[in-house]
Parts: sequence; C-alpha cells; structure tokens
Amino acid sequence: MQLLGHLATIVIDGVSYAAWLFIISVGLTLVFGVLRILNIAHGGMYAVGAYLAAYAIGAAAANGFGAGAQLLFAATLAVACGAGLGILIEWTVLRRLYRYPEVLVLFATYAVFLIFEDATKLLWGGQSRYANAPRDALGQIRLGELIYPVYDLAMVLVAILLAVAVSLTLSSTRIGRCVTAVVFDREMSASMGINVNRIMTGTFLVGAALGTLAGALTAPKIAISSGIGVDVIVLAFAVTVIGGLGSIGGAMAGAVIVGMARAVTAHLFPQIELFAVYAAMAVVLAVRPQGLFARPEARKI
Amino acid sequence: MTLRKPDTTIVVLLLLAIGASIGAWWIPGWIRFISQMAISAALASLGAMVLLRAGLLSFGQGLFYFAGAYTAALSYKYLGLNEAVLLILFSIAISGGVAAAIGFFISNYRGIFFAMLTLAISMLVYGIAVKVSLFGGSDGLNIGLISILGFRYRGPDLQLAMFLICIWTAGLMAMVAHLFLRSRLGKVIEAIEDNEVRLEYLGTSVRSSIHAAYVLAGALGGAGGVLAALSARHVDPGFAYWTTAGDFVFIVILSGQASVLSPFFGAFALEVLRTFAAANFPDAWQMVLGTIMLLIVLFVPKGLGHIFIALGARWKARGRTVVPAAMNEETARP
Amino acid sequence: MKRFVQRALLGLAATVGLIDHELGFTAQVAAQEKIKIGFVFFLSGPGAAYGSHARDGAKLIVEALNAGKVPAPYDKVGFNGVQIEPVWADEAGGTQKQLAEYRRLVEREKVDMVIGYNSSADCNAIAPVAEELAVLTNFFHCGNPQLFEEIITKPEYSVRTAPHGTMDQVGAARYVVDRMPGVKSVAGINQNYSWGQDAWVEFKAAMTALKPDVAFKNEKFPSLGAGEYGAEISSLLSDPADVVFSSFWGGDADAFALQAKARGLPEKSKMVLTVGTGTVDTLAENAIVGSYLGARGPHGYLAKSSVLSDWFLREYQATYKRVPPLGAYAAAQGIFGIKAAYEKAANGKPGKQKTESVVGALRGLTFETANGFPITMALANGHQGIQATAYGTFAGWDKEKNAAIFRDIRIYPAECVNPPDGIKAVDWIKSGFKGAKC
Repeated sequence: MQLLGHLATIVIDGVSYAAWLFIISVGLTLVFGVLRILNIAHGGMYAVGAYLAAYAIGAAAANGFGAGAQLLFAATLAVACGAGLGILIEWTVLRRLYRYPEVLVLFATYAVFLIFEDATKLLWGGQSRYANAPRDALGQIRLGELIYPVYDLAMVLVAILLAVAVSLTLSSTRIGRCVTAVVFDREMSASMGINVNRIMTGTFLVGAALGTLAGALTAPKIAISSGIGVDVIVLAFAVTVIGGLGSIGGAMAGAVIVGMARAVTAHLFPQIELFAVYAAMAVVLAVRPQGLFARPEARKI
Repeated sequence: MTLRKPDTTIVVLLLLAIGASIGAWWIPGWIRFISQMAISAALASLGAMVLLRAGLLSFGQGLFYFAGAYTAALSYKYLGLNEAVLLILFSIAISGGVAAAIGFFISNYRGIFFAMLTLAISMLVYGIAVKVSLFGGSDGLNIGLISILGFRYRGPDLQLAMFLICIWTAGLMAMVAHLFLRSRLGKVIEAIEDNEVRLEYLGTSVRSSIHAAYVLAGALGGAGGVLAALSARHVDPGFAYWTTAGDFVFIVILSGQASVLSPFFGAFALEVLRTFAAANFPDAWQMVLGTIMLLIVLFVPKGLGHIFIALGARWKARGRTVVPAAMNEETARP
Repeated sequence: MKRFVQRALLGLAATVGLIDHELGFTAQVAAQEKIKIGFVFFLSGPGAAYGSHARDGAKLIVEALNAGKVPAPYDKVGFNGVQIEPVWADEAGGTQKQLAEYRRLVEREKVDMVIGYNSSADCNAIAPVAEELAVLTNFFHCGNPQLFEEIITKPEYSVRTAPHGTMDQVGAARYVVDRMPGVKSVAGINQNYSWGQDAWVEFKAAMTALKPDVAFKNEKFPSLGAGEYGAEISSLLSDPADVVFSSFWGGDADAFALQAKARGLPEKSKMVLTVGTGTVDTLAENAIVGSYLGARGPHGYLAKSSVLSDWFLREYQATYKRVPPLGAYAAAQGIFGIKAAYEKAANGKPGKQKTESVVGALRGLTFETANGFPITMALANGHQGIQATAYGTFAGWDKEKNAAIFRDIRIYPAECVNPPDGIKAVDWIKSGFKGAKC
C-alpha cells in the first residue's frame, strides 16, 4: 500500500513536471516544424514573459484585483509583448536569413537570446522577483497522502488545453492546414498558392507568444532572476527532439518521458537527477534515431 | 598534389607560426594568454568545421575538449605525468579514441538529431564530471608545474614556452586537418552534404567517411582541450557544457569555412570581441557580444573570412594574374 | 603583389590601432597616485542574485572611503590616505574567461590588487596565477576550505578574509542540536555542485559528531538553477525527517522556500538554510516562519550593533532602499580587511605600500567588520580568516516597523565553529571538533 502511494506520488510529480515541460516547449516545436530552426531566443522569450508576469501580477495585486484577474492580466501582457517581439525578430533578423544555412539562423537566435539576457537584467535589475500571489491564493489540495498547490495541478489542465487548441487549429482551420502543408513541404505549398512567408511570420509570432506565455505561467512558481532562460532552452530542446521535432503529439510524449525521468530520479536516484534529462534524450535517440514521431522522408537521389 | 607548387595554406600556417614564435617575446603576457585560449578554441572549432563540411552540426565538440583537458589533468594528478609534449600526445590519442568509439554509433545520425545526440552525450559527461570526486567535481582539477621537453621552466618563462608549444601544436594539427580535407576522403566528406545516396551508389561508404571525419574532429577537439588545460593549468566540467560547444560552432560561423585558417581567425575575433565587451561593459557584455554577433550574421552571413576572400579576389583581378583553379584553395562555399 | 602587401600591412596597422584604441591597450599614465582595485563579482547569470549586492556594497564602501566618511577605525581617506580607483568585472562566463580577465586586470589595467570571486572553481583556478603574478588577491567569499588546504598550501599573495564554508555547517549543526536536542533524523536538499555537495558532507559529519545516533535520509541533489522542486518536495514530504538541511542560495533558495511553504513541508520538518537570510531579504513576510536561518556569517539580521555596523546599515538603506544583503557585508569585509592591513603596513608612512608588506601585515591581523564581529586571520599562515557566526529563527514580519523579526539568535565564537590552524576542516569535524573553544 505504501509502495502504491509512493508510486502515485512519483506519477503525480512526473505528470505535473511534464505539463510544465510541454508548456515551455510547444512554441519551440511549432517554430521548428514550420521554420526548421531551433530557436534559442525561445529561452529569452520565456524570461521576458516571466518578468512581465511579475510586473503584471504585482501591478494587479496593488490595485486590489484577485488571483484570476492577476493571471489574466499577466497572460495577456505576456502574449501581447511576445507577439510584438516575435514580429520584430522575424522582420529584422530571420527574414533576412532564410536563404542561408539553418545553423546561421540558429546563431542569430542565440545572439538575440544574449541580448535578451542583458536587456531583462538592465530593465529589471539583478535581484530576484516574485509573482507567487495567485499561486498562494488558489490554495492547496490533498491528493493521496500529500498536498499539492492547486496552481500546479491546474497547469496540467492548461497544458492539455494548449495541446488541444494547437492541434485543433492545425487540423481544422484553413490557416492551420496551410501551416501543416508548409511543415510537410515548403516548396510544394508555395506552388499551391500558400503565402509561405506570411505563414512563417505568423508561426514565429505565435511561437514567440507561446514562449512568453510559458514564462508568465511559470512565474508564480519560481524566483524570477537573471539566467532562468538558459536551462529552459536545453529542456525544451530535449522534449522537442525526443518527440521527433515539429509534432505536437511528439512534444507531449517527449514532455512525459522527460518529466517521468526527472520525477523517478528525484525520488529514487537523487544523485543522478542532474543528467536524467540527457540520459533520456540519449536513450530515445539511440533507439529511434529520428525521435519518437518522425515522418519518413523521401530519399532524394 | 605537386611538389613544385607549395600548398599556400601550409605556407601561410608555417609563416604564421614562425611569426608568432618570433613575436612572442614582445607580446604582453595577458595577450599571449588570450591567444592561447583562442588557439585552443580554434582547434576545437576546426573539428566542428570538418564536421560542418559534411553537413553535420555538432554540439558535442565540448566533449572532446573535455576529454583532452581531463586526460591531461588526470594523467598529471594520478599518473604523475608532467611532460607537456607527452601530455599533449596522450590527450590527442585518448580523445581520438573516444571519438572512434562513439563514432560507430553516431555516424548513423544526421541533421538536427546528430546535433542533439552529440549535445546529449556531452551533457551526460558534464553531469558525471560534476558528480565524480575523482574528477574534482564542479571545482575541477588544477594542473601544477609541468616541464616542457624536459626543461622545467618557471613563472614567465613557462608561460612563454607554453605559448610556443600552443602555436606549434596548433600549427601541426591544422596541417593534418588541411591534408585530410584536401585528400580524397576530404572531398567525399563535402559530397555527403550534397547527396548521400549518390555517394553510396558511387561505391563510397558514407558511414565510414563520417566516422573518419568524426575521429579527426575528436582529435582536434582533444588537442584544443589539452592546450587550454595546460595554458590555464585548470580544468573544470564546463568544458563539456553545451555552451562551450556552441562557442566552437559560432567561431566557424563567424569566420566561414573556407580554409583551416578560418577558425583561427574566428577564434581570435571572438576572443577580442569578448575581451572588449567585458572590459568596457561589465554590466552588459552579453548584450554587446550578442549585438555584434547579430550584425555579423546579418551583414556578413558567409563569415568574416569572406571579407578576406573578397579582398583577395579583388587583388587577383587587379593584378590580372591568372590563378589556376587547383591553387585557389580559398573558394567560398556556396 | 607589392601593392597588395603594402595595403594589407596598412590595413593590419589600422586594425591593430583600432583594437588598441577600443580595448584601451595603450598604457594610461596615472594623473595622480591611486590604488587601483579590480573587483570581480557575478553581475549576470544566477550568481548575480548575490554578486550584484556585493558590487553595490563595494561601491558604497569605496565611495565612502574616498570621501573619508567611514567611521573609525576606517576613518582615514581611501587606503592610507590614497584614493581608491575601482575596476569592475563580471565573474560570469566560466573559469577560462576569468583567467583571461584576471591577467587583463593585472597586466593591462595594472591593478594593485584584486578583491572578488565567489565561485570556488574560479578561486581554485586563479589562486595559482595570483601567486605567479605576485598580486595581492582577496578571494573575498568563496567557501571551499580546499583552497588553502590543497590548492595553494603555502600562500604568499592569495588571502581570504572571509571564513570558509565549514563554519556555516558546523554552526548550523550546533544550532539544530541546541534548539532541538531530541533531533533524530535529518534530510538534505543541496545543489548538485561542489558548494552543495561539500555542505552536505560537512553538515552530516558535524551532526554525527554532535549526535552520533542521528539518522540521515533523503539526500536530494537537484541541479544548480533548477528552480522547480516539486518532485524533491514530494519526496521530502512522503518520508519526513525532523530537519531538512539546505545550502541553497539566491533564486534557488527563494524558489525552494516558496514551494516548500506552499506544500506544508515546514510543518513536517524544521527547515535549516545556511544562506537562508537571503530568502527573508527578497520574500519578506513570505519567507518560512520558524525556519533556522544563517547568512554565511553573522550578517544582516544576525549582525551585532557597533558604530561601524550601524553606519553601514544606515548608509546602505539610504542608498539602495533595503537592508544590506549578505553579499554587501561580504564585499565590505573584503575591503576593510585589506584596508586594515594596508594601514598597519604603512605604520604612519604616507602613500602606497608594497604588496609584500601589506600581506605581511594582514597575517594574524584582527580587524573590525561591517557586521560588528571582528575577523582574525588565523589559518593558513594568516591567509585565511575566521569569525564568529550566528544562527537565528525567523519569527515573522513586523508590519509596523516593516522589518523582519529574528528570535533565539545564538552566537558561536570563531574558535567554536572554525578548525584550529594546521588541520583540515573535514578532519577536524570528524575528530569531534578537537580544540574547539565554545
């Protein structure tokens, strides 16, 4: 019975961590699928979102708004700024580089990330910031033997909603199907009359907004400080790559694998928790060299 | 390959090495040290460049940098080996060996999966190094006083001797890499990026070609690592962290991949940039670095080395000298 | 060919000239005699949560010293009447970058001394170079005892005015045993790098020495900067120990405190945080009430009132609108130690002093600090300081005064929580604190 309880705890922790992983990587996955670039600036967007949320939640709380309004305000501000920054980056940087090798774009996004790192520091200072008010206000709930913050469990719901929303948009709207077509074959889509450039701009905008949103949703859980974006990049990469790059289902599977790997090691083998994520990534790639949900590609002779 | 016409790249490498060796006496110590760091990074970047020529983006060069550095530090600490030349040879051999072993497995991977698997392996090693007390944990290991070719130099003399060792090791390794890239195998590597299937039909094993390139990249990374370790006399797990490997790839992006000389140029440029940013903007050096990186990527996307190529082409046009295609090593890659 | 070579050389010369100008390579002639100090603190990355305060503190002290506004015994202008010129550098970026930066500070900026370094990896890497270049370097706050036990066993130019980290663990263990004599089990959550690993080893040894029957369970090692501790907290909750020990600092400590509190961990286990006053600095009333907190020395809320410490508190609050965090105290202590030695070495003679005589004067010196507890350079042939330490219980927030309430503050004398000279810290703990004077 105790063993079962322990197991349940591990699963709950794993799922809740997986939900967070999915939220931070869904934007990256989308951008990779359409633009074929690993967007390192995603970590920067995450950090910006977290700082914006801290500001928004603080401002809303100071004006007497409740937890719901605080979160809404934070999310809105983060999404709006994320979309704006996304457009800005796409127009000024990425658009000029699409004809060059992908690795060049990768480093352009790395440069953007470095700029964001210091920009957030210069704007908000070196010390940590907090946005824990809404998380505290939502209270705790008992699951089995342990209590969990409602906010953390709500993140699982948010992750599922996000996954459903993105999948539905991709599969059942006109624009979503255009995006799917571009993911599958850029040139063919262009010749079918899809405005590939606009799709790419739009996707990057949405990806950036999802990045800031992820930061905003995480803000109430953490200390928002200099350098929080670095770890997020590698984690999001791991999730995206394990899933096979560019598919929402893959990202979900990747998030669950990495989440469970971390929960299991944190509980049972804390000494190796440090590299659980990389071990999971190496093992999955060793077994499935193209990730879990890879599309077969035509061989060009 | 003809005996009559000496290879320009090798001549330039030799001239640079001789020039730096003579100039060493007048260069201030701290610039010499920065140069040693740049040379070490350049060797590892050269490895990344060899792989990039095959279209393989490696985020795992840090692993070999780590392997080279730690082979030296561990041999010094536990085997009592303190001869620089032996340590260098040993470290290059070990990292080449590590690459040969991993190569069997990794030569199946392409594109982003190659990048991410190399990253994962490198980060696994980083994690292990942070945990294992034999490796000194996250504090790393110090390397005490070493002898160079039997001479036990101390203080400034040791630094100068180490600088010369760096120059010549790097020069020799760059020549090896150059000969490899010029060889048949080197040309095969470049063809891999274009079309693998075609190569297989021509009767070439793509896998073993990639494997060979990977071993060379490993040996180059190890050479860089051991030089960095002996220059800094300190190693730490950060050598295997993904951002270290990212730096190496960035150096190649910065310089372009026209010749084995390119990464040296890129590494020096990056080191000067970083020193400039850190010295003048201690609060925002990342921002300055990022902005300059961005400007370079945007406005000189073929790499800074391209400026030289363009200059060279202009000179050739002015002098109206006809350059035989075979001698024109520094053609920009499309 | 000739023309090309000419143009190439011209271009090269121009580039070198530009670099020279931009980087400021050309030697500057000091207009007047000044003591140039290189200050190296974390200004970016996770360490900035700590280093930015150290820089704020150092800036305040340097400006006050130059203006001659610091109270006695540091009322002399600058160092021995000579103005101080600070040069700031960022410690982030790894040991390789730090080695290059250190050499640049010494050989290019021609600093007279360097005060800084918080990461033990940086201290280990730089100390041999400091010895080689013969530059007084005060490793102001890295905590690893190995620096003078293993890396530089005969220091000439490297000093550390701060006590090493052993003191924190020994103090924490003593405080736990004092406050909870019936403690039976201890769990630990520490960052997975040398700071966290060493802290846990030392704390376990200290607890075993004080209470041999205490049991250890649940050792957690999340990575540095993980920020999210859901799984660890679940695990600590499902098999609760009497005490949860943690050496977390900066953003990690704050995040852990918030998350642990939200899930009721403090109700099941007593929280002991060696660098825990930082959580009170930033979280204020949201910090964990009832937890045992240290400050890597008797800093901040644990400080003793003195003319100097009251001045520092007042000035810092006036300048930065907050209670000085421990990083600021550490920076102040690093400067005061060197100033005291400098003026002792001068012995009334005006002007700049030789590095060797400053180091000589520092050996064995006892000097006043901004927290009211003096430091004595007692270990490693007088290159390593010891100080009393204090632990206290965070008892909540005083809304009227808008200040933190600390209760049951216990002060442990320097010789009680630091090893005597000549014995390694861990061996000393394992020997049952042989020679400790409590």
